[in-house]
Amino acid sequence: MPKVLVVDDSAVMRKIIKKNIAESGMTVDEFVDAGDGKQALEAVSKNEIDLILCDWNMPNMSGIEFVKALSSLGLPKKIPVVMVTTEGSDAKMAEAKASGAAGYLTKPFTPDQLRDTLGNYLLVK
Amino acid sequence: METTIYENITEDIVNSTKEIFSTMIPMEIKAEDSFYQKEAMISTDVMSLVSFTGEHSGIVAFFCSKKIALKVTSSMLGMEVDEFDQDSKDAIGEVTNMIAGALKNKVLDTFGAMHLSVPIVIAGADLTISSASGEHEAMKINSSVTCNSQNSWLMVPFSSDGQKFNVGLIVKKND
Repeated sequence: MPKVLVVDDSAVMRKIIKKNIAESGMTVDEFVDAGDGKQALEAVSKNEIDLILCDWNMPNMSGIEFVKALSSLGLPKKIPVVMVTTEGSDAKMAEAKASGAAGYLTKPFTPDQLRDTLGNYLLVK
Repeated sequence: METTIYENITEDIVNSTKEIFSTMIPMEIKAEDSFYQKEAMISTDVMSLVSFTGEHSGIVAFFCSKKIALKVTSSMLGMEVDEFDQDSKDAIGEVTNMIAGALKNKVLDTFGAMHLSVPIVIAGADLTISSASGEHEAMKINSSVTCNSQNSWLMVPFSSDGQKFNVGLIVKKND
């Protein structure tokens, strides 16, 4: 069962993402929270994370800086990162992909859009 | 100084706000006629600000009562929230962030690329005054906050079940 790291400086948004995942029937063993990129790097070092959902604009370390830092760690297993962000331009999406992000979901999102985006990474009961 | 007027900017604010509410906040909202806030001082319970920089710079703001803030928080989380706390501030900040993000994507061709700040939320404090001995009844004061700006805000009012909130915008083209 997968362990999912949710990275967003908004605790409310983290709650909404976790609630939507749980209600959509996707199987997650455990959620780990992080409020910025630095906390996310620490969480990755302490947990065996299977999937990361990451905001872009955050204090201390942004989501894109985190993605780049994660790529440079050279982890034995590549952890897929799905950006969940208000940044919706083609340029930002291309930047995220070039930096190593595996998926992209623009806020605001519906539960169906979240499920469709994460369907490649999480099993549905 | 009046915020620079761009064609369709009010419509873009209305559509951005409705997009956020129809997708993530199950509340019926209705847009009303926009106006320029001439008074320098704005008094409100809660204000949330997201600034942006780039070819243009400015602020997207959300002004509301605590009652609306609680309603938005409850709707977003799908649970009744009756105390204005950190979650309420966080929710209003995230709403402002999403409105600013949606607006940014809509005005990309007009305003050019913009960098958004993380939201700042300011709320008036609920003060309780009572005598030290406790002999006299406590008096509750719900203080509001004021925003003093030299630029006039383009305000777009919205209503929901008789309650109102405003989405404001100040934007200026950088030299």
